[in-house]
Amino acid sequence: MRDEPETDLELVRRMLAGDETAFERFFDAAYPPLYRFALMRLQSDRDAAGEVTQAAICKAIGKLHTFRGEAALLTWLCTFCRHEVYAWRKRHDSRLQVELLEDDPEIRAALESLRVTEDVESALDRARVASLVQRVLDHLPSHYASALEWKYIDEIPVQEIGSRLGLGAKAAESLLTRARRAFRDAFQAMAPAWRELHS
Amino acid sequence: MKSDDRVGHLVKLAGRRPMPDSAQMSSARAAARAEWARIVERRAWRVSLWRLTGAALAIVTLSSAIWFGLRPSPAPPPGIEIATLQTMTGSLFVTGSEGRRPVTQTGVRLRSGDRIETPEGSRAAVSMDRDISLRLDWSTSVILHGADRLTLERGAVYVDAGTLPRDFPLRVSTSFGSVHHVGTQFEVRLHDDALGVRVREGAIAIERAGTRWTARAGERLLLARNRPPERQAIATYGSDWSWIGELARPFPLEGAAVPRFLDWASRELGVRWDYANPAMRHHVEEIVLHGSLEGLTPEEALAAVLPTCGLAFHREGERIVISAAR
Repeated sequence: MRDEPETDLELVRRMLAGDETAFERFFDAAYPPLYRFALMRLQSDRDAAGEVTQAAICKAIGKLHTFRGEAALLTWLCTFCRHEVYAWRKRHDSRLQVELLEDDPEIRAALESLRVTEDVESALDRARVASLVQRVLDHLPSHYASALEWKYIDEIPVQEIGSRLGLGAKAAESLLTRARRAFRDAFQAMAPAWRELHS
Repeated sequence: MKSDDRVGHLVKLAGRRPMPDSAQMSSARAAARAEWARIVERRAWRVSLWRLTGAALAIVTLSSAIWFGLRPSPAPPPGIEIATLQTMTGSLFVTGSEGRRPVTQTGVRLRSGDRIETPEGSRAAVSMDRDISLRLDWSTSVILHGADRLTLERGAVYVDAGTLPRDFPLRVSTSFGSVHHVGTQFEVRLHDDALGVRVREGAIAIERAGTRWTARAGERLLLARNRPPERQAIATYGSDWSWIGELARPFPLEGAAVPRFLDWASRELGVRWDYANPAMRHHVEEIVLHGSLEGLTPEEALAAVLPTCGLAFHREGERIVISAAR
């Protein structure tokens, strides 16, 4: 939700003014990453994640007027989701305690700024890397994340990626370059150890 | 390994991000939309209240006598009446400020914020106050937000915008995007993984996340997530549209002229009509119709009415041809 032509604060102001397109844009951009945020904390229980995400997004909408744009909108929404996960666990008497990288305040700050360069001391295992990669993708502009997934997971040719995004082949290649750079910066900020892991 | 390859390696290693299923997302969207509509209404009411207060203070300053005489009415409360349940086959449920209730009779007034649900086997027609006809197929759920917007949560809704101007901001929202009328008759249908819009007359525009696609009469757009829409040519008449005719508002036959009746029937059937012989026109225009079409579909109405006028009809593709009965 960052690096888009319209800022998060502008989007929220349009929503509060009753702009339907703004609501649709907000929901489409916010719901999937919030759902994944909940899913990771609820042992991949899809029903629970759906319930928690719905509650979180409704409560956040009720408090939209308090959003000041000081943090990214997704980060702000995640605080509601974190509370709802906690409440869900309490209701279901769950002993589940999932330690996640981004629950660490330092990593959260890195996600927020995408510029922090402090080292993360421990090495990351494969599953944690996967989880981290997905969170980084969620924090990139959505067309960057989609383009990277299309290119590297679906192995779709650049020309087709361009066509999906309404761009020519050259512009799509350029967008992929920017997406890779944004990904690299974010990932390095969150897990500097990756250089050692992948060198 | 090159730096770019490392990014690719990591993204591939992580795999595709898990996505919520469409039912979950649709339900969450409806809940979020209801909450959003609530806060927008509440804010609008507060703004109105502040404005009213300001106006009142100004008036008090000018003259307390005028103030007592001209105190403005309070802002309209949420949930104003905006539509009437016109026709139904079976029963339906309406959820409003009084909770969820079954409805078994037509003529019920509907309010903004009401959710209308047709169960399997039931259909309904709703007449909006701006001369918009909505027809709900079975297993459908819609929320009426106002005279110019509604949300389709599941199933299908057919919209006949009648004589509304092309720029009237009529909008049908779905979890896949919003459909805007551009002077038209169209059907919006939600499938498990896509939104389908069939245009019978005029044109529509679909908007999703800032992108806009248009479709004209005789076209269908199928819009799935993360894919460009598929476009195909369709017929504007035939059995695929027959459910619409079951819910047509009966034509007021008593005292009407035959050409007006034919205009109504052909619009409901998605076709046009012509005389087999133009010389018939004068004779036909002089006939005055009597009786009622209550309970008849447009197709049945044609078969019932025209023989009583010494007329017959037959179909030629997208045309009804009117001739003298033998």
